[in-house]
Amino acid sequence: MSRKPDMGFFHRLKRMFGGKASSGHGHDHTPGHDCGHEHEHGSTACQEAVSLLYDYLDGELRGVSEERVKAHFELCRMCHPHVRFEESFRAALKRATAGEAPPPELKDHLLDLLKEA
Amino acid sequence: MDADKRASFEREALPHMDAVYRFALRLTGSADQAQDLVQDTFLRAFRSWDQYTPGTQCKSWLFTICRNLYLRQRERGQRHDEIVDENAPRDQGSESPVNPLWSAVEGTDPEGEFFASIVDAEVLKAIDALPEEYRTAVVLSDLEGMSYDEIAALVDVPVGTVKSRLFRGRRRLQQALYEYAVETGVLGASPRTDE
Ligand SMILES: [Zn+2]
Repeated sequence: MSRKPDMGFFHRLKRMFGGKASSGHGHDHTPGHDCGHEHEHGSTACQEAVSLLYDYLDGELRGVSEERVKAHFELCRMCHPHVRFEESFRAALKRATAGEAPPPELKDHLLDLLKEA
Repeated sequence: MDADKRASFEREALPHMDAVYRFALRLTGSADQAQDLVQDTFLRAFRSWDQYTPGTQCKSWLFTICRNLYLRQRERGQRHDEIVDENAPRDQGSESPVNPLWSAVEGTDPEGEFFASIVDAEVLKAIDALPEEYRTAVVLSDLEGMSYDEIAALVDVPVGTVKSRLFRGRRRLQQALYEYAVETGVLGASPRTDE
């Protein structure tokens, strides 16, 4: 008889608790692990993560939730398209304004103005 | 003395000219007005150069001057912006962290690839159509990469207000671009069948 419970035990346990099991500590997701059952928008982990999506993308996550939310977005297949959606949006803003530069004569003109100032 | 002042100004402030110009362009919406605003900003900054603390965020300092000059001009009636009521009660639907557009694009383009197909001019038009408060927040965060704290200090509002302006500004912008994409057929109405 093995002393360690098999991984299937933990998965079944988590399933029993639904999303709530991962809302606190002990987030044991691993890449490739299918945990779609706890990532509906109603699930606590997804809800928490989505409510912090802008903070995450803006690099403004602070405190205890930081690691948890980062890990969630990196691994959750339900949230992934939403992260991509927001990233596509931001990329479009950057692209549209990337080519905007002042006319070359503005700097010289400015230097002349400063000499008179 | 005067030569020193000029030299340090040219060394520290002038390299931010392109960034100030981009910001001025988003504020005024016109290249001519942006150039005038950049000149006014740098003249004002030069005259107040002894008030600038060396080593602090020079770009933020210049942006503050730029925005204040712009707002003063606007008061004189050069541009009419929508007045936003930031104390308006929060509407549950539009303020939900779950973006309503996510479900709208779920079957066709869940990752928002349509954003990449929208022409630059249309994106700029949508940014420029935002009320100044939202536009400034979005430009400073998404285009200039400033932190919530930096934006709050620059605009002189609490961080919570910055976050709510970013939220509302981004949602409005996304909605406008989404509608444009649907109208122009960039975003198909029917779900993809190529799987
Ligand atoms: Zn999730």
